[in-house]
Amino acid sequence: MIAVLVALALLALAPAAQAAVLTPEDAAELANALADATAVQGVCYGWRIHVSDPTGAEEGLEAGSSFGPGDPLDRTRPECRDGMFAELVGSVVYTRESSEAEDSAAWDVESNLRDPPTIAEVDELGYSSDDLLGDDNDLAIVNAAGALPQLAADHGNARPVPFAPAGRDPGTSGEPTGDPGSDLLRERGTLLALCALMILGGAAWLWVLRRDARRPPRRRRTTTAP
Amino acid sequence: MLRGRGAIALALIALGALGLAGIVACNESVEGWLADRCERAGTETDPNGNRAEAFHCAARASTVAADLGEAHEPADRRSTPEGHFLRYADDMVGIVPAEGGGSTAYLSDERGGYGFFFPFVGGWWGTYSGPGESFRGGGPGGGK
Repeated sequence: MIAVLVALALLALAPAAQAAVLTPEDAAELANALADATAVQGVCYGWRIHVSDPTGAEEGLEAGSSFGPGDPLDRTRPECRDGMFAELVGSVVYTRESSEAEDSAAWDVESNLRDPPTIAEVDELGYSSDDLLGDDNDLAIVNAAGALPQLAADHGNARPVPFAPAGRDPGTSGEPTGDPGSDLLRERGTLLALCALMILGGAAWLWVLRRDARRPPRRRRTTTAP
Repeated sequence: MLRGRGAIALALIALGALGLAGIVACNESVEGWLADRCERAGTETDPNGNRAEAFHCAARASTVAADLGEAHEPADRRSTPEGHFLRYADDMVGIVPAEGGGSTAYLSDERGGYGFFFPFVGGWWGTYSGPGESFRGGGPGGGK
């Protein structure tokens, strides 16, 4: 009995398993970017997404901060001027296929800044908590957390992180890949399809009307009284 | 009765054609959108010779990025502490805070933009070959 109680206590004290939403490289890149922002602004940044996944593939806590991937945001550290911080927090709940409940996700921004970034502003930038349920859930976290320093600067909490198109570092190279597709189709695809449907529908209707008009009229049977 | 139906079908075709023409005629380019809301501020060239056209905007970077993304849905978007980046069929746009307020939007073609914005979009919108990323902490000397 004592052994069971000790085991439960140890489980409760054990840190949550690290969720594998971000690759180690992407988590390191995000943590580096946030660390650069902290060095400029004196504001600490982080991300903390709890993932509940019955299959176990992504179960655990996806977290990191200006202090490194996997390192929780500790606002008592000297890098955080006056303890200032902003953190993307959220949860993702995947359900079993046999369950009638649907997968769900939610996120928010926790911050003690005077005029903090809001999750509504993150949404306006085109990132949604629904993205946490898709194949690009890593991009959703990287972009939403990456936007926080910019939003904090926009609100006057800190100075902006300087942008410098410094070109490529020696030894790095790359080319754009993937076809972005047509801008017109992406932006107005539904309207274009509707207009095309009206033209095709109208033309088909006209063709039917003309075909019916060319048919000879049916003879009416008349009966005469004997 | 037949004439009435024929007229409706013809009207349907005409409306569809007008709609198509209107959509194509009123389709403003990303450059046009930026030129309408911001001031052209010349061309910038990075150390590798990649060029981007600069626009100075009165609104904050996040506001311009959100508005542009709403007016012209990008194929890809990326936000970093330095700014917001949007990818279109033939254009890449980076919107960053400007010194003295407002923001600067950089517009470049796809190939030049990938080079110009490489520290921020490299590996995300294309290939990346070089040393793998590992945590190095922030501060001077940082950056990909």
